Amino acid sequence: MNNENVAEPILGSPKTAEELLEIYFLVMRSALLETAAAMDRIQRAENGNYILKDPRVQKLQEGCEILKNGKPDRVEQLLCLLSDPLEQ
Amino acid sequence: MKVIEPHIHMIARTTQDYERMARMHTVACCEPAFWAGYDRTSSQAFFDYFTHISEFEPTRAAEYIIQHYCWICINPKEADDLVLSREVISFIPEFLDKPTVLGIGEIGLNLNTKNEMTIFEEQVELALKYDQLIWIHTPHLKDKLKGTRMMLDYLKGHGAVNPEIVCFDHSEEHTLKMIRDAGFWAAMTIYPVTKNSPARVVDALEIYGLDHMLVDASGDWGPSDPGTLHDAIFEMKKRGHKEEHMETVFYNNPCYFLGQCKKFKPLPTLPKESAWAIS
Repeated sequence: MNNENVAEPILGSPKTAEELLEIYFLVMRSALLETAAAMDRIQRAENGNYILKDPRVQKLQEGCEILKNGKPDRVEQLLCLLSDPLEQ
Repeated sequence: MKVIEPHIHMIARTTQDYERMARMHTVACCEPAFWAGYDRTSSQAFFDYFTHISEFEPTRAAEYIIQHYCWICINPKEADDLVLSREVISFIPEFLDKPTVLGIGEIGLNLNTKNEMTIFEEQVELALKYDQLIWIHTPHLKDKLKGTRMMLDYLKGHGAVNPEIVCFDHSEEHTLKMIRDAGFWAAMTIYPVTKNSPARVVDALEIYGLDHMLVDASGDWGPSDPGTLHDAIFEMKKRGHKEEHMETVFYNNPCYFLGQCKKFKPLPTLPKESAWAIS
């Protein structure tokens, strides 16, 4: 592995990063499109702009920043963002 | 390759699912006691339910050459009612000697309430008193992180709980590390929308390795499918993983954990030290 920010996985992937991108690109594309389409659908409905201020939607928008931050534990970061705080 | 399904609620599934599972080389399945989709009206309803999963389901599964095992408990969602819970706990011991009952489960938390935690602790004591394995349900969605932490802290501070006999189910990326660092078994559930996907489960196996890891489909009355377990096997194949590693996760690991109960009959194909060595 040549990314010094990523912990060495114990089992690891037999596929190269390039091969993995070929396998998963359309899956990733589809997931993003579905999210965008659902937000558009909500916004088109009556009261849509107000409903899009729902804290759950705000969290999803915050989550989009996580996709860009370059850290290798994006899923864990997203799940923590969507969780009740531990101290509550 | 033989497959063991560590968590499925066959009471909610059709006979065709047993047939599909058999065709997909499932040789054994385990049914933890859970919420029925509605709150039961009396403790007697639990008695009947425990009788169903410990007597009738094994005979239904046997028609398809599948060994059916179960776990007995008051589930987390109904555990908020302390009076009802204690009535149910009072007759759990009479089910523990049945030939297909593996232990106490799936106990745990739902909304992380004080009452749920009280009944969780009382059922941990029951398991210790009767020398039983423990299968833990971790909460759904936003409650999972805090609920997992609460139960882990309790068990780590207890002093008499051997982590080898405890499995935390429904673990995800934000709870896996804390469970494994404490030495417990972790199970990952492949369930549409609300839990893991096959790809995320295989990601976790690649990151953490094979030891103390289980995978299940938790098929129930919701939009679930016993076939998602086999989707994860295909995902490992698609990524080029070795068949011996698939066998470790989907057959041998359940044998190592569940086989700590002498009533569980399937035997692993090799010692765990060999299976868990990554080469």
